[in-house]
Amino acid sequence: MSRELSPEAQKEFDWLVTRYPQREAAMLPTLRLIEREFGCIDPEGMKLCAQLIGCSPAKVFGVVTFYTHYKRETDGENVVYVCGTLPCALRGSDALADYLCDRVGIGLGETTEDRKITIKKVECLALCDQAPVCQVEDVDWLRVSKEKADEMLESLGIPKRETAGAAAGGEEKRS
Amino acid sequence: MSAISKPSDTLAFEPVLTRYIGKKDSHTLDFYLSHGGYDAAKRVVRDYKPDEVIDAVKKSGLRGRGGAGFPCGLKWSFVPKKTDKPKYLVCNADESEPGTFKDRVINEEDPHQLLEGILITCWAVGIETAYIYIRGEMWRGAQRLKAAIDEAYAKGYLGKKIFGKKFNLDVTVHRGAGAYICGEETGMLSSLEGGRGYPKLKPPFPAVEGLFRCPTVVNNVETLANLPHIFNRGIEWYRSIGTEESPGPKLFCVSGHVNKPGVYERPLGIPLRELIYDVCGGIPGDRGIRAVIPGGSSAPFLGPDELDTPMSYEGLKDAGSMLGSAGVIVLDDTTDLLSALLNVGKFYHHESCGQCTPCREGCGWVEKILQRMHDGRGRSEDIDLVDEICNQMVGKTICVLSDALAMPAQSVLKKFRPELEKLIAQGRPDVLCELAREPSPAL
Amino acid sequence: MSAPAKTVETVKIKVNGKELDAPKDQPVLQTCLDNGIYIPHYCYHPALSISGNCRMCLCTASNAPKAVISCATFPAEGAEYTTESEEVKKLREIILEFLLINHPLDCPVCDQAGECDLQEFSFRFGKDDSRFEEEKNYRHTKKLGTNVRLYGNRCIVCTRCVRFCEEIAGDAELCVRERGDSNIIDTFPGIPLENPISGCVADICPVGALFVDDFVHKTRVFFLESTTSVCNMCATGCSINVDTWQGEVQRLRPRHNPDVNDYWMCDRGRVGYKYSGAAERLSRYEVGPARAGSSAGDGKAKAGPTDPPRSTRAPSDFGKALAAVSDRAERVRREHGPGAFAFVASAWMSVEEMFLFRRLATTLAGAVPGEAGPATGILAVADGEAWTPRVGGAFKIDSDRNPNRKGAEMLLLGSFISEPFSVLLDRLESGAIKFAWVVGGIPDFSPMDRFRDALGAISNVVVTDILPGPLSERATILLPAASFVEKDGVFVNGRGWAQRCRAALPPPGETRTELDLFQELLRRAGERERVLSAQGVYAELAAEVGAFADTSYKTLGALGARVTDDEPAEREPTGREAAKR
Ligand SMILES: Cc1cc2nc3c(=O)[nH]c(=O)nc-3n(C[C@H](O)[C@H](O)[C@H](O)COP(=O)(O)O)c2cc1C
Ligand code: SF4
Ligand code: SF4
Ligand code: FES
Repeated sequence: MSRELSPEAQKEFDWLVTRYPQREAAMLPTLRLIEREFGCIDPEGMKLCAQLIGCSPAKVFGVVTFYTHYKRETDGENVVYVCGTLPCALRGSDALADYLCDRVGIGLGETTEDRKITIKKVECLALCDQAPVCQVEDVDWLRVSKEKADEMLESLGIPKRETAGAAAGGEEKRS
Repeated sequence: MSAISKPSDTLAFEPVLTRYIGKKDSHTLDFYLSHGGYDAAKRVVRDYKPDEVIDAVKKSGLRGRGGAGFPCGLKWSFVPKKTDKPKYLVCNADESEPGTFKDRVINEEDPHQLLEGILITCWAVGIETAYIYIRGEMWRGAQRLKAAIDEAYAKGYLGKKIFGKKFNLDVTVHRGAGAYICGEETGMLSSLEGGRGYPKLKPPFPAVEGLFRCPTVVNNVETLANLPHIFNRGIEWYRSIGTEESPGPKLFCVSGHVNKPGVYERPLGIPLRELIYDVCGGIPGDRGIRAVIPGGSSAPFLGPDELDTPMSYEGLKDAGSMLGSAGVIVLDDTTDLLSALLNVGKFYHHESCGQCTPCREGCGWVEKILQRMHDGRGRSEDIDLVDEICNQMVGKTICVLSDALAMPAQSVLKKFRPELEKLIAQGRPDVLCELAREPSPAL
Repeated sequence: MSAPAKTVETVKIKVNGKELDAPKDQPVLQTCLDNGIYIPHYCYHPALSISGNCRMCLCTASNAPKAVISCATFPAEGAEYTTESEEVKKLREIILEFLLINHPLDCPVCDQAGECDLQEFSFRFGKDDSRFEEEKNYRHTKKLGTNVRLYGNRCIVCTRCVRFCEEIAGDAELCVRERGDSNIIDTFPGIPLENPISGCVADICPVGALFVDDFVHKTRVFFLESTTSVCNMCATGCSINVDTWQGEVQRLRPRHNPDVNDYWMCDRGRVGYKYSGAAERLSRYEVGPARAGSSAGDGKAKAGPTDPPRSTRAPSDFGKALAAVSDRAERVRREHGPGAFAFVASAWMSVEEMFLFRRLATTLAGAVPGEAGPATGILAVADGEAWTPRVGGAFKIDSDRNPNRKGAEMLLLGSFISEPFSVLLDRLESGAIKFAWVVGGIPDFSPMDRFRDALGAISNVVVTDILPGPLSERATILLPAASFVEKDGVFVNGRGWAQRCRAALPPPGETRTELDLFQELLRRAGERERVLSAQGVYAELAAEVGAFADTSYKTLGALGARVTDDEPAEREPTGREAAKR
């Protein structure tokens, strides 16, 4: 059976297409909508998008794979994006990524077996003054020290280590 | 006119674009209105003919803040006056140049300032549809902008018959999805049209044939945010800030090895040294500086002997670099330049859209060689080879992403050659450190 | 006879110092190519939108500070363009070096070798050595659809194939996926490349990344001999090249013809040569005794399959078989008169063959004033599905699956055939027909039961055909025929466009072409002096048949000409024009 949008999402889509003179221009927001509705963009989602937009599924496939920020079916429930670009790298984002991978027990770009967590590098998140930075779904984690990283992992259901240090300041997480 | 002479001038500088940042509810319409918000737009729409607006912006000397520094009014004037086609404004809020985080502040903390700039632009150019293309990663900016747009519609500042004039305007927030190249204006247009973010062949330029093949103005968030102030306080005032060729205030994003990284609004032309030491509190541990990238990672590196360079379009051009997005990344003297350059190389390799042969193949090739050098398998010829590949990547592609890797890379090869040669000769990695051994928010 | 040329606005430019009139709306690259100035290029294709990604066509221009790509540069009045200089040479070397760094350099096993633009340009414009010593990227090799195979490592991402599927075929089954140097051509999972002209992507792929499966590992292209011809699989009549090697057709390729097929041909036509090389091809003349007794009794032929008379035919040769045909015809004419003959032509014959067959019918059957003439008819296969690219263009697949129905209408209707097919059937079944000659030549032909069964009950059935089947089984005299890759002749497509088909191979075994066969019979009957070439026969035909007047093999040339105005001459926009809108 092919997929359908929920009535609310369909309404949102109907509004979306009114914002552009060409239907295809609604592609990116429609993909966001599908991502939100179904948790990720898988081939069925791409087909649905193609159907809504009125283009070929291959076109949608090309678009989805061009962009890195859509959640794919291979991604875990939570994707931990670790900014790896120079300003963050200068403040230890490589070491941070290693630390996170180590703690979660997966490699960079991999997903835990229970499909809960994926860790990926991301390019500059435009929060360079808060380096090193992570983004987990709709939360930006700023100035992520090891302690802060533990806190972040705890929010994802990974208990803190015994030796957990002092908690970081409250202002540094935005959600 | 005015020139920046003494450091005290700039320290005493009263912020314009960021004056309400950090204030409670600064993003709301109520706040904005209670601080004179939309006055400029109202006045412009009621009292100015479109041409007069373009003229005033030309006179103000406002230059694009997105990277290229193109005169804003001049760009608008390229849009055909008589055309049957609709015209579009696309506000570039894709901010993804490494080391740049200024537009984010406006989007999140003062979105009405941007909307007011959009109103003025659309009135001047005769545009009824505007899009704000914001990075997919900036979920909060998108939320705030959407909320601000809703408020503006409710108040009648957007929609039909704005300010009682024959002036309609629709604004839509369009979220990207993770692609640096969508910051390049024509890549952004492709993306907005629903495709892969492939930059388009130029000519035709967007002003003539852009979004949906219609005349399109593309401006950066910060550029547009300047507009209300120009009309509130006048051209003379505006030109009294900054330098002759680079008038106005500028948001500088300072990151890397400084004590107080952040977004700072200062007049264009402020010396780099002042920005680093006086504004940002210098280098942690009072270490020295190895290099500074003055305008986002696409800009050629400056050495420690170039700290007196004025941070203006012309000043940095003269220094062989560029102001770009004014993303200043400071690298202290413990920094391993090869690692830094490799990081930059990886970025461009990852972000090349892959259309043009020289960029698609060149970025990857450069990264592979840098990686090899970094891994201790470098050869003495490698420096010249990378330099030569970079030469081959410059000026042959659809957009300048190719150049944006080649130029900083070449600057490092040139300015820090002895150091790189030493690294190659020694082999990696024991003598060298990675960029940082620990996640270190505080240095 | 072609449409009046549109006046094109031109500007004066100079290329390498030579002054040229350059059409304003045409890229400098195309103008150069049209004027014999070669500029290497990959992504540019005249039928597709301009994408300008390969950068191979860089040249310098007097009005630009940087090198420009000539495929996306439109001529400016007075501008000077340079395509031959040290600078341009260097630019080409640079692009080629980049293109090759991740290329597997597997020419020895690549089927494109010999007609690969990458190989050729590297040889002509490249440097000898590469400085790339890193590990190469890997990209997938897979079948994209039933007909097309992708060798990803060789792809230079010029996007011609993607643009073709979007702008010409219209279904957009291909995309570039991923980004940067991971860019790779792919289809959506589960939706393969299956449009009816999918094989064309292999034609336009400038390198060895896409192949029609039928041609993979068949032969080296430099061994191939090419013959210009016309496809016989439907009334579109695509201009093609027939590529042969060692006496076998290796592949058919579309040949550019703006008035017929642009640059394309359909997948069905592309393998439409297969039957010509089939092992079971008829290649022997066979003569059997006249079928006895079948026309006796109530004068009505018995319906129902009759014993295939094949077993009673004995091997013969061209001369003897022809003699048998003449003798039997002669006897029937004497005993029963012209009304006892049936001549059935086919819409798969060339116009020359039709012209001769028509004449032969009169010669064999004779004519008695006031008496009924021979029964006549045309065999044709049923319509298939028509297909038009969603985005316009000259190319469309005709629903008519007969290559020369239009020619048959022009040559045979009225003059030769005046009765509907049902009358032919009635007459065949009436028992009055004693001599029937059926020209088949249609692969996979399954005649109507009535027709087939009636033939089985007629005393003399001459069948000219290519493959064994219901027709040949019922022949008392079997004359093997030449397939379209073995004969010369003109075919008129559904839109009235006449084109030449040319023999790329000799017919199998002892087989002589129908052209020879018909003429030889006419010669024996004293109707002509000598056997002419197809060109000679066409000249006779042109002198006699009004629509072909003033045309000759020379005027038809490689691309053919319009011989009937049944179809409006106006052309739909090409893919490019349509895509631009
Ligand atoms: C590779 C590349 C990336 C770019 N990224 C951005 C960006 O993130 N934000 C931006 O405003 N401009 C970016 N630009 C510059 C835009 O192409 C364009 O010049 C700018 O948006 C025009 O606006 P302005 O005149 O107001 O500066 C980029 C350019 C290039 C070549
Ligand atoms: S230069 Fe690079 S990023 Fe720009 S269009 Fe070409 S391949 Fe894409
Ligand atoms: S497969 Fe061939 S036609 Fe398609 S993009 Fe690659 S090189 Fe070009
Ligand atoms: S042919 Fe001009 S860029 Fe490819």
